[in-house]
Amino acid sequence: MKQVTNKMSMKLESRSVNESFARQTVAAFVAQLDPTMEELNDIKTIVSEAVTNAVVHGYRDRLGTINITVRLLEDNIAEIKVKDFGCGIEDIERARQPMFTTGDEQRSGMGFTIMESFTDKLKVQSKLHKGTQVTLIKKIRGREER
Amino acid sequence: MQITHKRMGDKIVIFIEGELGNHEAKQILSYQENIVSLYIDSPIVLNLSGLTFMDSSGLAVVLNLSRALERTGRTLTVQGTPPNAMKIFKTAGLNKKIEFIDGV
Repeated sequence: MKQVTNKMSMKLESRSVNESFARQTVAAFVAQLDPTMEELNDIKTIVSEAVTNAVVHGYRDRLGTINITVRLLEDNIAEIKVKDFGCGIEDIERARQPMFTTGDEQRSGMGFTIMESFTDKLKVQSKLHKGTQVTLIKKIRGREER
Repeated sequence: MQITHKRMGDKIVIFIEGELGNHEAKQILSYQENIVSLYIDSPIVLNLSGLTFMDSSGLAVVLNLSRALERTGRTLTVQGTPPNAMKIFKTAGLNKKIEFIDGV
């Protein structure tokens, strides 16, 4: 088990207007690991995808709460958890396939693919009618190793 | 996010500036729809040089515009895509289906 060096958590209403706030806040917190601009943008992107999933799919036609927890671990690792208490995912494997979406034509179905390729590890836990938790783990390599 | 358009020669150029996430995508899609039906004969260029952030919502924005243009026998050109947005288009393989060019 890696030691936690810092931690933050926040709760948001599942309004799409909060997506920008969520990605900026998490990126600002992870900034203390001294990431490159590209890594910082990756963090914003993966948080945006996870929060959008909760807003669009988790809560679909209703308003709910989204919990976001960020833990900074030793060896410059950021662990981000995005949790909703919405409808859950019936078939996680299928949901993770590129181009799969239960949303309308405004969604590309590439959210999980982007999350997967921009992180070191992606874990999806879901229970029907209980909710979904996405865990995103990213090692911040920073400028010194470039 | 701000979306505008301008006639430049024979082309109509749509400019999207600021952040493009799910929240902003709805407004962009409806704006684009209007442009496509308003300028029925003009080539359309999407200029993304002013984007400060984009997630997978940007894929739907570009795909929707591209499909709408195809229905009227036109093809989409995307101009000035910042590196962070390009990374997302490449991850989705869109760079092989749509023409991306440099320039501001």
